[in-house]
Amino acid sequence: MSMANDFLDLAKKLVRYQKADVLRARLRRAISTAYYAIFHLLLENGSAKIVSHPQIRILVGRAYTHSEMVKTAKSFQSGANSLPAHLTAPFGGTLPALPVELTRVAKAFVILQEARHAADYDSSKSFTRGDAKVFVSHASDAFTDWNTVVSMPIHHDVCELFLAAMLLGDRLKK
Amino acid sequence: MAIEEFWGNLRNAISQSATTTSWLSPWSVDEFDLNDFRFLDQDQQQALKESVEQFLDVAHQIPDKQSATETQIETGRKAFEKIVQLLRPDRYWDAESLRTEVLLNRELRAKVPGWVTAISCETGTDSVGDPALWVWLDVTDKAVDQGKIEKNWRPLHDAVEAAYRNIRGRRWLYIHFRSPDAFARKEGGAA
Repeated sequence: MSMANDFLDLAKKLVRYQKADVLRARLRRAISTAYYAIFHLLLENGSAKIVSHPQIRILVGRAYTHSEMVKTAKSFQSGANSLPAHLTAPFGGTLPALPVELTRVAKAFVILQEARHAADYDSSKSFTRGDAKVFVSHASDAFTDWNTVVSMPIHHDVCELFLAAMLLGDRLKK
Repeated sequence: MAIEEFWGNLRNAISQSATTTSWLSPWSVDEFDLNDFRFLDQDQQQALKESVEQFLDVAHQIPDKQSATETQIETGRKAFEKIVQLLRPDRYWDAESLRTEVLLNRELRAKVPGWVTAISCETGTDSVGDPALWVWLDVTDKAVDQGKIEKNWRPLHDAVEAAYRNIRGRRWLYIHFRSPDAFARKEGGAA
């Protein structure tokens, strides 16, 4: 089982656990873990596109950065018209409408990274179990959407573009 | 923008109002333009206009380098408190937060279920420095107990996003549910 799936399962368990002990900390960990689930989902898929050797994949995975990934996710969340020119250039300057599943994955990434930031660093924010469940649902839905979109050959190229931009960000301009 | 300068002046005056009378100056409402607050209800616009005029009337009466009389302070304070009550610069960091909250509530009033008891907004920058808006949906304890958030968060998110697009909002939108009582009393209380 992949690290991404492990994190998603853990996030679900953390948010469902019924006892009230260390609840605040646990809900924060659930939100943070939900983010890391989608983070690993994308870097595992991206790394697998580049290398097949398992240990080298781990090395490649370390090259992903949260800031580049969220920047890319924001571009894709807003639709094909919002993508920077260097990303549409390989498609002759115009990209067909992005699959809705992919824009939802991008959106979930943006939402979860921001929530994770608050959960890990902002003690002034409090989270209810309902709030945390919503964030875990974002991650869970993103897994479903990702598996759907990558299984459709028609979206193969745009998924590769998304993963390449997630890894390389603005360096793709050069 | 003039509205943000006005907002800053007002917030500055609030910070002075506890210890000095320097808030009783035309500068406290400098750059006020009623046109910036057309998003308020008509009666609120009227009350705001009258309060600012009343405040300025008093503030202009005070000669330079002289103290205000008790009557002037009392009259000025009433007008000032009314302005603060209408605009809540003590609560909203900027005028955009107030405007967005008012407009979103207006857009969403008939579209959200009754267990969503309040909609609040806060502008700022997100963790990567982009302009952001946090929308807090306050929900009842009962809704939490009945699992209504889990069942209904998607249509609620969609409704908030659509409403924000309708009012031409351009910030990154982050939506949260809030039920502090349920959190503190029920879930945190019993092991």
